Amino acid sequence: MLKERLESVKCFKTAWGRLITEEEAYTQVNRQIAAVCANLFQVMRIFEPSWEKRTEAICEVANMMNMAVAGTPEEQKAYVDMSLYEAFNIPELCEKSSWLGGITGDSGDEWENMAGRVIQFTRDRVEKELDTCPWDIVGSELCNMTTSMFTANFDLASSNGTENEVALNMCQARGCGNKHCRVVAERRDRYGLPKQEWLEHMQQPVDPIHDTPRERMVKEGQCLRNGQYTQAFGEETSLEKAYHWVAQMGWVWSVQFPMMAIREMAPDEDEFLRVFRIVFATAGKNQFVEPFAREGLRQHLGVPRWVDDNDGRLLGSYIMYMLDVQQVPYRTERWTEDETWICLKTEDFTARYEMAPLDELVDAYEAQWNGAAKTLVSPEWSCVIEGRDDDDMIIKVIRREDLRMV
Amino acid sequence: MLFREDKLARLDAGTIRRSVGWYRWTHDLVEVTGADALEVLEKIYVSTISKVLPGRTKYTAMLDENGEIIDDVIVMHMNETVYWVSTLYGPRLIPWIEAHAQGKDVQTRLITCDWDMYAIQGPDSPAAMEKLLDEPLGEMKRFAVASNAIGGVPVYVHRSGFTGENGFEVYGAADRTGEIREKIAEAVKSAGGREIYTLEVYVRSIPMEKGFALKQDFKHLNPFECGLGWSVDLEKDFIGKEATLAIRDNPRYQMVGLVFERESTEDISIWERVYLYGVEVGRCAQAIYGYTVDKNIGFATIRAGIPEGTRVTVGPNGSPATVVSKTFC
Repeated sequence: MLKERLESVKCFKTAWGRLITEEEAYTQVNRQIAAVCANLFQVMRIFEPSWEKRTEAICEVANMMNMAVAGTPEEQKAYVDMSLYEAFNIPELCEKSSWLGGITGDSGDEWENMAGRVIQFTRDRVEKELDTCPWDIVGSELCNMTTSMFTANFDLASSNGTENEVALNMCQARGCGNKHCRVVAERRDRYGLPKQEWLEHMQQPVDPIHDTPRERMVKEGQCLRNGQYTQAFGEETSLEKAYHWVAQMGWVWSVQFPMMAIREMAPDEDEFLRVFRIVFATAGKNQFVEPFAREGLRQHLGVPRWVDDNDGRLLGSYIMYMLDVQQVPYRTERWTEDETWICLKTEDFTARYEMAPLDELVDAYEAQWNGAAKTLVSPEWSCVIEGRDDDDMIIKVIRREDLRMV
Repeated sequence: MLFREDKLARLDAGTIRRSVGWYRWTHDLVEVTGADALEVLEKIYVSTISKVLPGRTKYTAMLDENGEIIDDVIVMHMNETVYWVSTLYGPRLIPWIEAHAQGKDVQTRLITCDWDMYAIQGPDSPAAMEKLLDEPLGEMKRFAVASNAIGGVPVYVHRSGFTGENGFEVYGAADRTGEIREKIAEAVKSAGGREIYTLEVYVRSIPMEKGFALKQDFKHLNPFECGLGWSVDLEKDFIGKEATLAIRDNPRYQMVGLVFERESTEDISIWERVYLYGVEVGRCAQAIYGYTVDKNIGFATIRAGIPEGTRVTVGPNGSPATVVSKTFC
């Protein structure tokens, strides 16, 4: 007897009808956020030539913002109690003790497709090892910045009020060219270690435990391997939930937090935006400068042969794809060989996480997509975003003379 | 994740197996009271709770309507009118009880934060308990619970545990936990034991060696598919009974043990895929190092009918493993 119908899986359709699976889209959103972060960090390096100064600055902000998310010191303690109890159920794991901070990072890592494992988890020591990191292209400043965020987790979980008891080190980092990321927290009283400054968090641990050999490393996080993340105590997160969490929150820590510090590095607002747009425009042009990059995109989106290489819908469909991947709702208003208009709520685009709007995303993507128009289609084409200060905005891919092309 | 070379974990495991170790591990505790408490507990658990006399306790399972285990617990009959249920999922148990207690005289209360539980486990645990308790234990049977005191602080002593060794659990008021903890540390030390530090040793490695599973290992399984058929009383009515009868006669899955061939299992997370000749036949609930058996072992749920001795592979790198009984020692 024949099947009555095909089985269904979760996908979205590109503008040309090709299906993109949830797994592909989830992989793409993680890498896309990392790409925006990488561009942003180039802006930072232009404004602040000192590695130490810029790293310290983003560490400071990221730590402060992580603490602030939890509210007042009293609210911070309650926040930790509640979130840990929700996550782990087991009262011992909700005990206010800094070592706990180490395990809370595990779920966030896996949701962001950072594939790895908790190597050791005791009262005195936590060691976490990652085999992959979508953010491994950004640079060592970001690796350092993550330690400042972990520090906030440890501070929040501390039994000493809000000052943690551990020495926390990212002993290895994919972003520094190592085989693994390795984060180790060791209790200072147990190991006789001093309290650390922001730039002292990439040292070696006192008591290294294990190094996973290459043949047993994994290439994808649990959500892709197994369809869900399950932490050691059985709590589960579906791929769907992890994907949505990343689409909301991934921007907050990797783009918004450092952005706050980087704006301060610029001499003024205009200069920040000038350099910011130049960097993103360059990234956009480079995206499709190679013929095989254009060919690859056509294949990925399912662009039919009859669509000419100088058709603006190539870029229009790429932008729609990127919005779908990022779970940003939109409506196609015009879709002809002369123009593409994509309408969306400004808030949906800028405030992926409602509490943390990121208006700079409009500048970033306008510059990047405009740059991409020149190489993906041709210099006859431009991308502009209109209505950014209104409730609704329109992303337009149009033919336009551009006498001062950036 | 535990590794063969982890000296602290090995010491912790050896302490429980050969001497006596202590650790704090309070499960969620739900107090169930009211004139209809027994009736409701009979309905939601597969075992005969009416046979659990005051001062006795029972390991049992809770099923959904599909006959799948949604929690495994210890029901403790504290006195004529009070039951405690020890679970890892108290906040989920309470709505479940309430949903099945419509119109009944039943009250539930999460008392987890009022009580701390310390486990004292290992062959020398009776000696440690004799030093610890104000009143002698006497002939306390397994799955019995009784009042006692530690240095004048009232406690309940439960002869039970999750290690497969002789052991006890001590419940004391959370606001007296410091005093209790100190006395336990002293008593265990004087009996030749020590505190256990590695959570994964006492939560996973030690229990798994003896075939003790966590609720998450039973995902989608009926008691008859995971060796818990003995706990089911088919003479009484309970939620999921109809499905249980069907599954008993025609099981879909089986819970088995796995012994891994590689020296470590870094590529095997929770619920990793299990393959037979490259075809997915189930999931590995978790792999862990067992220091008593000195092997990497695991629990898996696989298709019914795959015999012990079958060689399967697990996870993204095809880690080879052999299907065995889920009790490793």
